[in-house]
Amino acid sequence: MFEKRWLLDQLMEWAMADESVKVQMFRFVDVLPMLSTHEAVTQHLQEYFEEVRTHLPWAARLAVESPQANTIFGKALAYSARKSSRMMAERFIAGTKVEEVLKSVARLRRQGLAFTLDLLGEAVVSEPEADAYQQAYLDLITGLAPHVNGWPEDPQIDRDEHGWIPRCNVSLKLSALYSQFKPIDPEGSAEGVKARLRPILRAAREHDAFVNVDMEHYAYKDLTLEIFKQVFLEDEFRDWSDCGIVIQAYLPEAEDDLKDLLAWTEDRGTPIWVRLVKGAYWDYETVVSEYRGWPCPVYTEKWRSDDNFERQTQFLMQHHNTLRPAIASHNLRSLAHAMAWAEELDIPQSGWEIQMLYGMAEEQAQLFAERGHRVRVYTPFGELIPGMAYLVRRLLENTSNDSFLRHAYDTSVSIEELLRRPADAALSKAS
Amino acid sequence: MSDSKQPTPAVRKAEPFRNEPHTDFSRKENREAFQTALDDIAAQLGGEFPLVIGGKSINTRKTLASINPSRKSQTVGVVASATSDHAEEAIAAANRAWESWRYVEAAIRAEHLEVMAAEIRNRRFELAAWEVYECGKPWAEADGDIAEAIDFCMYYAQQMRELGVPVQCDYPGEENSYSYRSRGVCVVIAPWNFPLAILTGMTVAALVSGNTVIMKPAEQSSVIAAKLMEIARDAGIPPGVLNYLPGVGEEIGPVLVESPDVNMIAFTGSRAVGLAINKQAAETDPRQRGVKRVIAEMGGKNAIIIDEDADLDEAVQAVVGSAFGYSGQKCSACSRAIVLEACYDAFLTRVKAATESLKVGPAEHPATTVGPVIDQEAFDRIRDFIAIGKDECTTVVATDVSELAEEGFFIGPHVFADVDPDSRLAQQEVFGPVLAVIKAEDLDQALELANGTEFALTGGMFSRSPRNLQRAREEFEVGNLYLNRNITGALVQRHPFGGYKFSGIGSKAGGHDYLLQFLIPINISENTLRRGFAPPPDDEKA
Repeated sequence: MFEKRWLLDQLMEWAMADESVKVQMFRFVDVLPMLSTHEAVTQHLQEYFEEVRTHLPWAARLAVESPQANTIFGKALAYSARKSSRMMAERFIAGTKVEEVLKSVARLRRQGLAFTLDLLGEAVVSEPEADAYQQAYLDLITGLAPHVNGWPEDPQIDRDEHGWIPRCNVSLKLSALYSQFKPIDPEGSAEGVKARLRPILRAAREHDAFVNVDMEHYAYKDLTLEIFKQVFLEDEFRDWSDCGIVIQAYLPEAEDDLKDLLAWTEDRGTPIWVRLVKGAYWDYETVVSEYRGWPCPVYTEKWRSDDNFERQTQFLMQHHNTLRPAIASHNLRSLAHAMAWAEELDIPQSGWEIQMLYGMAEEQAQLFAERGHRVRVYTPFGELIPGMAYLVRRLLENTSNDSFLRHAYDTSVSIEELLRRPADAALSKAS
Repeated sequence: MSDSKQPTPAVRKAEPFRNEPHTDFSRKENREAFQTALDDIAAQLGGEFPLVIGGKSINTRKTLASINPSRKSQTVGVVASATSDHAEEAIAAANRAWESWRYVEAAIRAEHLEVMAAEIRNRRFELAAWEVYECGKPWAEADGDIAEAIDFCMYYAQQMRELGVPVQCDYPGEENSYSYRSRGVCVVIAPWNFPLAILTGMTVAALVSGNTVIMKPAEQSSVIAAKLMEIARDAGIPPGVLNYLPGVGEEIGPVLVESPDVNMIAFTGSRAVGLAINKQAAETDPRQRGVKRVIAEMGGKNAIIIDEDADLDEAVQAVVGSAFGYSGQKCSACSRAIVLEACYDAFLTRVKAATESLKVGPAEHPATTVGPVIDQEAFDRIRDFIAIGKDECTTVVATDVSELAEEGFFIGPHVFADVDPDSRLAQQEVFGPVLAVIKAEDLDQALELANGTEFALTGGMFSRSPRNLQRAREEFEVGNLYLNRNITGALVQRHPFGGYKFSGIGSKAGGHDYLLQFLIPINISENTLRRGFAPPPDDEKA
């Protein structure tokens, strides 16, 4: 998975094989950016792996346990840990500053890939922080759009079946636009969010940029959809099609939400984009619902999410003129299924798009682009400390036993198995 | 009791118990139902609530007006105010009722609690709405309080079913049976801050153990207590087993505590009153049946330690939530943040901004995070502490809510920094929306500061160092330690609640040994050998 064999890479490999090592590993990666001295790094590393020492191969034990924090070995260990965590982060996070981001998206474009940018931020717990989040997006749009709009045209990613589409594409989280975002108070939350969202939308329209509203935890879903519908029905934005929202297929409610969005969009009279994902908060949702004694909002079996993803893909394809499909997955079966429906319904390649995450399944992204698809890469950027939550989600995904990508690299899994219908995969698992 | 030859297991698992889930207010139907309940109750405000003694409703000449802290002009209910004569009557009624209640089977008593739980569940939003009006509790906090009341009923019922089964230790020729009896008449003196949960918890613990109860609610939450009385009556608790005796604490409290016919006092409230009760109860009158048992949950001066490597996203939210939830009027509330030097500035900046962003307003409004404080007395006391803070410390946040002050007892959240660890602000319980932030050089000093009060109730630490978390486990002197989370919102069974030092006498509410305090253990041995013949021991009979 990683090019250089740093200590953490090796630990990562062991982590894939042992859940207890994985937990300690991710906890260590999570705290690392907060540690300012090499003593602190060495000390934390030793403390975390102390608890799982018997699960580690002897070489790892030797490397982790022996150095004293203040010796040359201790410093080397701390350096190695920092270095490899930065490399891990750089794999999934496109940079900390706008200039670095620009370099990353220019590189994507050279590979024939489109992008959408996501600012990784700290949890917004105050109004000044919500202001800062809004300002960062305004700066991003006004800073980046003129630049990328000056690029020579690449019809495959700059046009859809209806014409020119924005190159500058940003994804944002509504909860970060208002510190008192609370589902218990939908009216107040909507007011707070919309007040900061409208200037971003205006800037986006002015600079030909696209704004996608990301989806977060289940508890925020209804409120996010509600605010999206309110703001994009306002006179100012009603006729604007460069906007989109996310539907998470791991939620059984996805189907009803999509139907509701379809009716709403028909009423609005201007199409929107819908990014269909499986959903990134599966662990959180299952843990939290069990803790609270609430019904689990997500499918607990992976194949059901895959199956629902296919059903909702079909729905989107069937209504692609109203709800424009952005099919976001690294699962080749899911994408092949989307392609089949697009062909079946005679939807041109430019009429829908594939989305993938920065740093993941890069070969596949390249492959689909070469086959003429518009592939958009979800590209997070930002400081490392707030980026850790995102990084840990990606690492979890990459090391999950149910991960398509993990199986794709596993030579013992056959192509037939990988591309099996989700329901059949479930049957074979049961038998 | 247990087989001593078996090795002690490394982990003992708690008995299975399912907490009543809190309401998911992200669901529209729940928000609408809650609003409907608020509207319904608004139309019922101002009713009269008589005493209930021996099953009879009694009106009194004097009354207490319970008012809405969010809107001073609104009377929630007019409640009878008991005299010392009423207190004597209630004690007599409880004593008479005990003669039969004590012999009711434990399983039947447990069933009564389960019926009460079902009734509270049925009336959940209605009861929460009463709390919103009477105690100024914001929606989610009121809802949590009702859920906790249900938990207490269900958990203590479950516990009593187990304790009701005698433990046999039989030998050939002798049967030994270990079982529990009730104590007698229990006086329950409850606070207003968890108006249903704490009152219900103490009351049903006493009832299910076979005691009879005189329920003396706080003056500020006597209407909700009247609702509990109603529920108990509907659940078939016989007359006199539970008596509702609202009144002025200073007038009837001493009569209840000193009476020779009272056997036990269960109290939750301030340190001063708790200690006074403990002292009074220790006096023995020649007429009384035995030494009185007192359990008292008292105050706290709770601290959260923020270690250098803490996740500040989480720490800031937990400190702000624990300090200002229900305007800091929880014994578990965070009133001190002890922050390691390395992250002090970053933490303080974010806490300041987060606190200033909180919505202060009437409890009825779902946007409100910080509602009013309970009454004028609390308002004045908290204002005094704020004056000390402004005088002695650096004022970081002083939220101005003067435009709300006409309407209700509103005090905006306050944060003070550079607080001297020995000052009143850092040592005394404020019971209001005031947070003191204290800087510590290292973890040794942080723990020393955290432990440096006369209380030991709740405490917390944010750290990602396994070794430092372990130190907190061992050295932090509190009854309830929370690691990397908020320090309020204890759930029955998961977080049995209670402190030591001057925070409390007795074991933890919602914990597995709480009921034992309401019970007297008895061992009965019978010689079964007659004329050289003995029946086989119990387990062989089966």
